Amino acid sequence: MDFAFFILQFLNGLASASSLFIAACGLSIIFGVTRIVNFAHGSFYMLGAYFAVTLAPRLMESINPFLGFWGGILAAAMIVGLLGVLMEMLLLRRIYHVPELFQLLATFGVVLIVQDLVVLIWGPEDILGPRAPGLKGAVNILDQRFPEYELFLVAAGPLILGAIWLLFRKTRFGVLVRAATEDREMTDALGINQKLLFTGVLFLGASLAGLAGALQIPKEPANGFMDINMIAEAFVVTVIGGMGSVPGAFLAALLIGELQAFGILLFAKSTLVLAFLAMAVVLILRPQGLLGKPAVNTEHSEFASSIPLRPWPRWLVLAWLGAIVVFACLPFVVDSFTLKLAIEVMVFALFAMSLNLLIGLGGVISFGHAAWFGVGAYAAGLLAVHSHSPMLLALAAAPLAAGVAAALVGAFIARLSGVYLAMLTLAAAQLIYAIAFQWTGLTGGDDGLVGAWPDAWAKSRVVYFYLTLALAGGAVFALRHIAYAPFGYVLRAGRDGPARAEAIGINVAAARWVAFTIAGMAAGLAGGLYTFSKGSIDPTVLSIPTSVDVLAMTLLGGVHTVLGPVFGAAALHLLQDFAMPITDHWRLILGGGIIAMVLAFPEGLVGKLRSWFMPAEETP
Amino acid sequence: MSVQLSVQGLCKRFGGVVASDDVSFDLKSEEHLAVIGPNGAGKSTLFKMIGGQLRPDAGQIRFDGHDITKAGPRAVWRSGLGQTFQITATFSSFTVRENVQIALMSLNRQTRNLWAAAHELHRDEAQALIDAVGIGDFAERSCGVLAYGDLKRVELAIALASRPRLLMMDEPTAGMAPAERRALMDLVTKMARREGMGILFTEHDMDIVFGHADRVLVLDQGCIVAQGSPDAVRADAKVQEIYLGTGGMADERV
Repeated sequence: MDFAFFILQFLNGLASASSLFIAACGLSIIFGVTRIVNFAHGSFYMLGAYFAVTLAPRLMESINPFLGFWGGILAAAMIVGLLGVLMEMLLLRRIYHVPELFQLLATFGVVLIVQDLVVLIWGPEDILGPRAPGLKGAVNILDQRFPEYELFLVAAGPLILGAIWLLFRKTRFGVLVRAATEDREMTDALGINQKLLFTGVLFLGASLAGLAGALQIPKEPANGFMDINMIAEAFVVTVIGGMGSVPGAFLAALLIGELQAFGILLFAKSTLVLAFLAMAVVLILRPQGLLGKPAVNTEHSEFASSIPLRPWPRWLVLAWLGAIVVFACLPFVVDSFTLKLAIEVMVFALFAMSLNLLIGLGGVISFGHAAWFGVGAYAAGLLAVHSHSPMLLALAAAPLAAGVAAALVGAFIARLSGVYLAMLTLAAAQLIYAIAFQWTGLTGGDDGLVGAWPDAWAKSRVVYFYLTLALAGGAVFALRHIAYAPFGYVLRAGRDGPARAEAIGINVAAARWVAFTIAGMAAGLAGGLYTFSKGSIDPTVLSIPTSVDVLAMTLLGGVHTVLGPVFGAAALHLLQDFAMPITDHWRLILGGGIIAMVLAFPEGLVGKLRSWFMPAEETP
Repeated sequence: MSVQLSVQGLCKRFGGVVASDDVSFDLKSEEHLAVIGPNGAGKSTLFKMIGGQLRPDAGQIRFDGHDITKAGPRAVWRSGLGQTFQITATFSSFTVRENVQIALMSLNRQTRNLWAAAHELHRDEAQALIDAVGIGDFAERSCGVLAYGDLKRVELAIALASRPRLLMMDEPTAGMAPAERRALMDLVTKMARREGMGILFTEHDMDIVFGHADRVLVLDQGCIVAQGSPDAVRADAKVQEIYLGTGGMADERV
């Protein structure tokens, strides 16, 4: 590596660090003040790019190229800022006091809605933007050509950092933002108009994301993947930098930018892997991030419940036995297509139950549960396709592989809590996604693996139905059994009162780690069963939308119910299956549904039913 | 009587605030020792250091001859030191009886059990404990819907489940009505005398302190300013000075 090349690579790193910083710092500012991890930050970024490619060319024609371009960029940022204000007033205001998981889900609902709206407004094709007037050429640096626009980006990051610094030091708004980030209760008590402050912060954060997206248009066309691609990286940057710290985000962006610039020389395909590994290392050494403040340990999880786990009354046991018998008779009455649907419902029921072991019993917010489902699915698929193993062997390998993976990841993150844990589980899932996506030789990359069909004896869908009923149904009831066993009580004790639990000798972190492993195994079994029911597997099973689907199923069923997730899975999967063929706007419906669910009945379907049918706890 | 808990030269600072400044004292077995002092004197910090929730900057804590200075809350509990917290901590989604059952499961090292029906484990022993603290009738009630005074009793039953040799209580009667306070403390002291259990407690209610402690230790700004029998402490000029500044001893209420 000669010196000139090194310098150029370094400058490339600085340019991408700047873009990353501008994109991520708004996320950090919004979190600092509102304590909401805004998933829709990626959507703001994408909208910034779309508004810019729409406005800039028109303004360039009607005014002049220079003013038109930069005017378009700024206008895009302002419009996105106003959309941020709209989201704060319509949605966030209602969810400041709900558990973090619901906040994450609600803002993810916005992501889904924006994805469909963008296709509706701008169409599915990528849209090329104009290049920046006056910055179209390249300069010579040590005899190497370096694009002027990249050089501009190198400067833009520090400039924005400086502007935010001035804003925070020299204006009343900035002082309030810093005060609220430092101690929200105090600013509350001092009688500061919180609503106005929060709205202002959303404008600032969203317009920064919009600006970052708009600044991308000379480099990449506006496209429908910008949101998810960006949010994963922005999460990494904010977490490494320390949630709520703007200078931290800058440092982290520099680290990631340079890591990617030089990492691409070592592992061309795995820059995402490097970013996540960097995050893991930083969080292990410094859980609060580079410049973050240690999180104040809350005495109890936001998912603490006051509903005891009662043994089932006889009628409920009989009702379940009856339901299982009826379900087992399905092959005699329904067609093959419905049977396929029933198999999938069982698979997702197990998947959702496994997640509820973590969320419902443990109060552990896992936002990347698709990882273990995917590892199980791929383990089974790889064995079936590459080494033609018998199906039962592949099905046994699925929970083992997923359990090992979950145990490894869990060893690092089980001691964390709250949003850090949520974001790290997401990061782990994205890491595994990246491996499945980029290791084409093994996994088939984007196309996935095909030809993972059941062995001859289970080729008939009826046989596979009963096999799934036995395995998934057995696992579901095993998970139910765990809830009533001492280990289930230990998990709930750690959720309701971690300090009390430690003071009676319960190792809360160790219990969570075991739960992580068990949940991973159960999800892995679900994944293995899924592979053979479809005959193929591709990276979408590992993607964020899969994690969100299973979260929605679990919450729809109700986190403080034992078998609620089974119903949530059935309801959502059937709805999806019926709705998808008849509408092009499934994401719009799902996103709206998730938001409605968070706002209307956070206790879930079964929780709602229980409060109707079961006598409420009376106060003495 | 032998020394059960020995605290030597304990120091702890948070930034510029000295919460504990060279605190040393002994607690003999079966002794009932009260720690008093104005708000911010360092009582809770001292208790958290003994309980393993906080690591002292310097000093040593020995319990029954074992060094527990660096032990975490789990190890401290296993060594026979039970505790209740200033802010009541029970498991809100458990019934009253289950709150005690889980402590017994932990004591019997059953926390990894994936099979047994937890609801049935140690049921009778747990019932006996909640009967003893006077909430036996609420056995099946959820702790999430219990009145505050009853939660204090649940917490006491949880702490007693491991049959500790020393019970450490941070303001056990805070937030209770005066009559209820005395009843609870009478109950605790009576049980402790019967079982031969030592008690270390903080309390703002001076009637409770002087009525239930064998010995009193006074903390102010992280330092021990006086210790001795209740009468001696009551007569101590320094103590009177500290308390007169905050509104008189007998009227101190939270």
